[in-house]
Amino acid sequence: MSDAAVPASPADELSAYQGDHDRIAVGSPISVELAAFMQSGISVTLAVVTADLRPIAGFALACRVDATGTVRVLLRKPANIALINVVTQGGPIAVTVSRPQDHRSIQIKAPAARIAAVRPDDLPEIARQTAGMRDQLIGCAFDPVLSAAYVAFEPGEVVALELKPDRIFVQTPGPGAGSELAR
Amino acid sequence: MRTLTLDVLRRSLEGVMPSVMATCDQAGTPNVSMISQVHYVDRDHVALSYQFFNKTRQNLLATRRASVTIIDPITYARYRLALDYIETRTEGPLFESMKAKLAGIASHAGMTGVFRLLGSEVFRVRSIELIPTITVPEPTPERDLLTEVRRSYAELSGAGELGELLDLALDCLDRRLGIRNSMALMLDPDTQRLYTLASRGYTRSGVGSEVALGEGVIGVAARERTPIRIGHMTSEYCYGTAVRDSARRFGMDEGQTTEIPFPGLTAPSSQIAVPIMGGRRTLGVLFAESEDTMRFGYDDEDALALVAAHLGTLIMLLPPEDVATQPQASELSEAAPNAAVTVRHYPCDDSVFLDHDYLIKGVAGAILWRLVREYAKSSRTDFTTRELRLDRSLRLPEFAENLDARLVLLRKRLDERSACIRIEKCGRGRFRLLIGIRLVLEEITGEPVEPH
Repeated sequence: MSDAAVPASPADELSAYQGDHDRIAVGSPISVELAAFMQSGISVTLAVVTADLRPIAGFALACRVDATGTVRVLLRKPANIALINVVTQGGPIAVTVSRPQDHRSIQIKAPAARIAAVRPDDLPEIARQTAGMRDQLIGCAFDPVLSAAYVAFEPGEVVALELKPDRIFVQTPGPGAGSELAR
Repeated sequence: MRTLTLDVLRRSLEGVMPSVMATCDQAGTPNVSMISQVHYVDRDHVALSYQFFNKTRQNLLATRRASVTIIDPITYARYRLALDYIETRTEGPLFESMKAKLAGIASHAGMTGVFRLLGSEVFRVRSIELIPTITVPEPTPERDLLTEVRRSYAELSGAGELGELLDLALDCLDRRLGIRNSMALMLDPDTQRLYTLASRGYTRSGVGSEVALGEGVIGVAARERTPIRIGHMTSEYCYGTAVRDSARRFGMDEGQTTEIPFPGLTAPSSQIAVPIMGGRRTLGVLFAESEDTMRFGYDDEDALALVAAHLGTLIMLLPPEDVATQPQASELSEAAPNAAVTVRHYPCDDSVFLDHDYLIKGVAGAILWRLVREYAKSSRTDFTTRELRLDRSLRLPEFAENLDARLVLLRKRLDERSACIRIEKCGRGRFRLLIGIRLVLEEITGEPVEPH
């Protein structure tokens, strides 16, 4: 790691969350600080499970959190066809956001998600967040061309998934990883 | 449509970019995390690094299924693998190979001490899906490794003795495979240490320098009999500078160290070590390194493994007695008239010093001491490898290549020192001691002093 900060730790995450009661919306487990982290231009990955208990991994371009606590995950449809099909059939979803430079990672889970159209204001936000992710990768000494390719997308292929998370977990590597953040 | 197999996706399994891994529990709740390493095992299997007992691990044990995405670092093509969990291995070649690679990844990610391999989780690949993404064309390779290995094979088959064979092998790595810095080490089966017998691309040859079994990528490759490769060097796999102070231990004067410095690069970024096998025996290790990160990929590993395999076969096929097609004409350094050198021998470890400078120890030291004593007693200069083999006092290891390797080591050390002593071949199974200076022999028989 070339110019990264000290790695975040699960213990830091737990104590910070427990001392922070400022939620993005009433009844939401997402704190205002976490919402800002989720939208800061970092890695967004997701998973669903098929009816016959087969997980499917996917990756997204960006993630938005609105004032009601709804999370909009923006992803390339052609790269996630099977995953989107499972979402349309119902079933739980998991989304992990991770910051490459210090590995700070949070996983949110929701009992279901729905497909939504991309809004006009999504595209500049995707551009901002993917640029942030690209810069994170470059900051971690990854090849700049590879870093740009990692987040490349065509505007016409983006789709949104909307979900209301009911559980949040700390995913940062280290002792305590996987712990559920208290609500 | 052509079915994708792991064999053609190995580059995507180098761990250049983190992968995404999804699992689920029995209730169907998904879990998604980033993983550092998806390791190629064979055409149908991968192994993932188990580093923490977490939800991913619990899910795997419960439902034994996973989905993983990987990315080709050159074309940026992405793939999604559906996996069935088989087992977790906590030792052995696969584990050690992944441990070394993970140490490099951890170093690169600033996570040394956090990323620690607890096990290699082996999965059968159920399906591979090409994920539609924006890709770039495959660049034209600099060389065709298979062709160059074939040419190397042809060249190596012409070598007549061990020293020539190893020097030629490293020359082939340089000219044909573009590997500038390399070494060949042989394993001493008695001391379980590897000693450098040939090197290329360094300011000093380091011939005679030693690596313990299990130390660094070289020692682990020899111990596990598997290639070990690391793309981002980490202190965990560097060669320790702490070498037993055998001089003090055995009561020698201070400064009379018997350590020959290891010749490696000061700041290597990539290293690879491949065992040289002779049947089921580990004969030695072929080692290469580079200042570039991720210099050695799976294809380079294949190429080096093929060269090492050929070397192993050729070493086993070398005639037990050195064959020289014609005697060599040698030139000795001119010594001043009446000049003398004191040859000191320490029986405790058979180390030999020329005046106060360390030359060699172990079996090679014992051989030299035997030769110079014979010379001092009877002015004899011609010897046979057969008589050395039959001399039980030399405590030669069982197999033929061990004597050959010691003679190569001794010859190179003497040559490097530009001493007025040399050995050269003078016919089949015969060699000659060339002495250009008056010798004073001194045996130091003091009892070894244990260090405090």
